[in-house]
Amino acid sequence: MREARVALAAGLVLIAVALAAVLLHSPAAVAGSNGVAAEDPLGQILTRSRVCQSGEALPAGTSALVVSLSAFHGPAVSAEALSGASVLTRGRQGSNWSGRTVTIPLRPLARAVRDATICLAFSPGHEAVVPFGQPASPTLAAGVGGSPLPGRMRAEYLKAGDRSWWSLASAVAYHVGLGRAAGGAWAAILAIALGVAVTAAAAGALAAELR
Amino acid sequence: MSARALARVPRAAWLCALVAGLSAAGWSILTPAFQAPDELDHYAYVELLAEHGDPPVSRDEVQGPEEVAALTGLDYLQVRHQPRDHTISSRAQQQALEADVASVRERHLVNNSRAAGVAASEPPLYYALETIPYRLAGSVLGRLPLMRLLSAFMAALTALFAFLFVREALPSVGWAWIVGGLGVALAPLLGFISGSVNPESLLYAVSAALFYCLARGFRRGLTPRLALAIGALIAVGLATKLNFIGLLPGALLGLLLLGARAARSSRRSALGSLALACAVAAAPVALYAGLNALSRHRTLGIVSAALASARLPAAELSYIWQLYLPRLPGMASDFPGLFTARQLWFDGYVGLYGWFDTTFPGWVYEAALLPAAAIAALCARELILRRAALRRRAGELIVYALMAAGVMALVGAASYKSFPARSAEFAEARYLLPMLPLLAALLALAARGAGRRWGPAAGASIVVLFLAHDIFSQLLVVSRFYG
Repeated sequence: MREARVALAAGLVLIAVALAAVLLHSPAAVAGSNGVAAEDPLGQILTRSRVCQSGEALPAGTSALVVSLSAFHGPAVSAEALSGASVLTRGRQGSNWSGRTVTIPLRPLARAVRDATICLAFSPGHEAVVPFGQPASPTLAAGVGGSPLPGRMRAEYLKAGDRSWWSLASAVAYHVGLGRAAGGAWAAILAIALGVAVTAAAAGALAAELR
Repeated sequence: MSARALARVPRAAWLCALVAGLSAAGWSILTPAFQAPDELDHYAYVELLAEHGDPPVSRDEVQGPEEVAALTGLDYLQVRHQPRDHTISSRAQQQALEADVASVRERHLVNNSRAAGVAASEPPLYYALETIPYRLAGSVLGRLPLMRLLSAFMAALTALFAFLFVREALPSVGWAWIVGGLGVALAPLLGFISGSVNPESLLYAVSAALFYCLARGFRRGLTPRLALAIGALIAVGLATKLNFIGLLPGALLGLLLLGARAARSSRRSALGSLALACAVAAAPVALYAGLNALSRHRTLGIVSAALASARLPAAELSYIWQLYLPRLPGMASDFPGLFTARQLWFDGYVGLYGWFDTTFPGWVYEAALLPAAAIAALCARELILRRAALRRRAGELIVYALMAAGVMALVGAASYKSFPARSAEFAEARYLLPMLPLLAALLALAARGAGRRWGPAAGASIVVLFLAHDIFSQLLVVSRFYG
């Protein structure tokens, strides 16, 4: 069954190429934030609503917006960054996100913008979304349909990073070793060894059985 | 299993078990302590059993002093549900963590809460087994990896029985068995859950063994020994996790069908086998009910309360339907804007790790539809080609379908309790993993569906796809927690 061996070899090569591509890729880095701490829940936003927050400074190169919103099965979120009435950039995150933050990829912003307004529109759904932030006066607070929330939401802006995963590998390996009884880079090395063993055992079993 | 039976297990099945065990062991290293669903509650249950000898009595979220010290030192709450926040990253934090845990141990502070959060309502078998590795290490940081390794061993058993199930269910094309077995062994969700402290790891293994025994019965007939094994597996399943109840209707129908077949040759022997299986299966439930009656508690504990409130109004049936399938005309929309089969279940299977806060970029879920559709098409082709054989085995297929439907209905009914405040509280793909043997069979069918010449190549491609899924899922977890 030569075809099976060719498929297996080609698949393993593809995995190796994809691994190399991932390692050469740079993870997103934080370009800035609005300095608001995600401490307090700011009420509930029903889906189908639109929430806006003015007074935001968007760094140059911003390619994603991270907002402190909490949901279990979050609705789809569309984001826009506005300067006056003109749209600077926009993006969308599909539904079913979970946790205390949602990351919305944006069309990269060419230049920094001061005093922008970010607006989020939620698709229909049953679950309310809870924004997190800090109390603020009604003039500074985020607003839903013209009514102010009790405070400002935390917002963070991401841009393309300049360090590849490969260049971060030793730091990541060090971090993997923390939080356990016998800390050290051995944990990362063992995990890699197990991954290699899994690949070898699976490929070996497949090659033997599909002869 | 006797030594002779073990010797008859094919080498390929052991290799599948090895792959699954190693993969889950890798996951156990890469998943930070307590950053897997409900692991802190499962650990608390084991701690109570090991330290006090009694199961928990309260669902409060109260952990023991040592676990609290570890959670605090690990920045657990800062990391959980916060995908932009990573685990501890400095030597100073590590030293503070070790010092705080050691301080609690030196002061001999004990957990008097008798609480184990959501785990409190679960049966004790898995937790009792976990007390063995728990006692082998001195502190929570040393115990957790050993406890996770026991779960990883259960992943190995799951893959072993999934392979054996495919061998019994699809006996004619031997080369395709390995595709199903390795597909299960490399399923990242199996590795993730079985790489943590979670009774579902044992549930998956028991469910896979039950599927195997039923398939063996349908192929070779019901013997007293097989009936005993099926009964024992049902008993173990019921003592492992309440979700096992979902498999019961199908398993009991399977036993009845096997008994009816066996009765054609010997009615007495068939009845004896059935009685044996039922008696063994019911033993732990009877023991549990008896102990509760003696202590004047509800006969079936918290299950009694659930049964008392159990009803299936039309709205709930509609909800359960829509949780998995597209809404039918006349049904109220329970999931507006959500394609449940795709977004809850498919995307949840493709990649949702940590505390449901670790996801791939959106394009990965879109791209995953392509190979999934190809596998489904190949599988459908094979099923259509073999429709005559399917008709002959309708009873067996109904049993497997009922087992799957039972698990799905149970998850749906549990989720409906918190609806609409939460649209689908238990819509987590991990709850469907007791059906992993069926996935193995579907993968083997898909490989066969590519035809005699290209089938093995398709099988190899499917396994490589699952291997890639496992590798990149682990890298996703690494980037989320340690990047």
